[in-house]
Amino acid sequence: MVSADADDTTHPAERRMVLRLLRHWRDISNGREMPAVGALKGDAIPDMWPCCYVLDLGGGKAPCLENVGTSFAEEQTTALNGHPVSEIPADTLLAHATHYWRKVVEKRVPISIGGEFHHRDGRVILYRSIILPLSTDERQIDHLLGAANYRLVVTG
Amino acid sequence: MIVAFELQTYQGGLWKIDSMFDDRQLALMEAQRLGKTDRYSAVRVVEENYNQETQSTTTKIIYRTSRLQAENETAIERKKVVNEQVRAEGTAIKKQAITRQYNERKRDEVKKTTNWLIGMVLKGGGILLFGLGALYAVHLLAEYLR
Repeated sequence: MVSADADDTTHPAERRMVLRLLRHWRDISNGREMPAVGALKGDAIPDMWPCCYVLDLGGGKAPCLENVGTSFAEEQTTALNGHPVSEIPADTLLAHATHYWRKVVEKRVPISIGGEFHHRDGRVILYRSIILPLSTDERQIDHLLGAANYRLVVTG
Repeated sequence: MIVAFELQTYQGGLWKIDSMFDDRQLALMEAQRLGKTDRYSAVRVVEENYNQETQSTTTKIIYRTSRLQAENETAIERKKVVNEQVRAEGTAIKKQAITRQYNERKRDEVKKTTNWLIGMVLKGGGILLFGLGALYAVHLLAEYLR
């Protein structure tokens, strides 16, 4: 996982990454209600892409993880590429970053949620996440773009 | 109590949900940024409070860009300017009409005076000619009778 600690000491980027990703999502929407997954290019957002993941909603089948970013490597959730979201271990950043995906599909708008939780490795983590809808035909949401970053909470 | 912040944009006469946040500051930051762009005529943030005990939701607008209001004010100002122009043009047209009427009246008066003078000259000339004719006739009559 990539901690946002370093960012926070220089500028309050921990929470703003979600806004930057939201702006990028708007840019690639190009007047549409939401962009298609094909418009998503990782190299256009090299600073954020490691914190991103894509959920393939699979047309009614169980949604599967794709392109889980390298920032999730530390908690070994990058190995979940191609696996359904139901297999994400609890108390991981990825679990917290994905748990509200249904609400995004229902509302058809980007949703950002943050919070604090005890990671399975014992650390207390303050995270901020966002999930953005993607659609090829502008009717059915076929993919979701998610992102999350975090910082450790120092407990006395 | 669950709190959510909806960022809404005004499009085609309707408020549409643009994005949702669980963080007030984040929603306000994005709303302020969007409000500065030309993309939407207005932007607002609606705070939703869901009371789990009563299962009721209360909403309140915590932020709204003044662009819509600014646009309204600009439209009112534009209308005022147009009205003034129309009024000014109306006054000018009215003034022109009055001047035209005055000129026409004056022209008529001159015409009337000219006609009267011509009439008087003609009448005077006629009387003079008649008088001279009468004198000449009297003179001829006097010569004949002598």
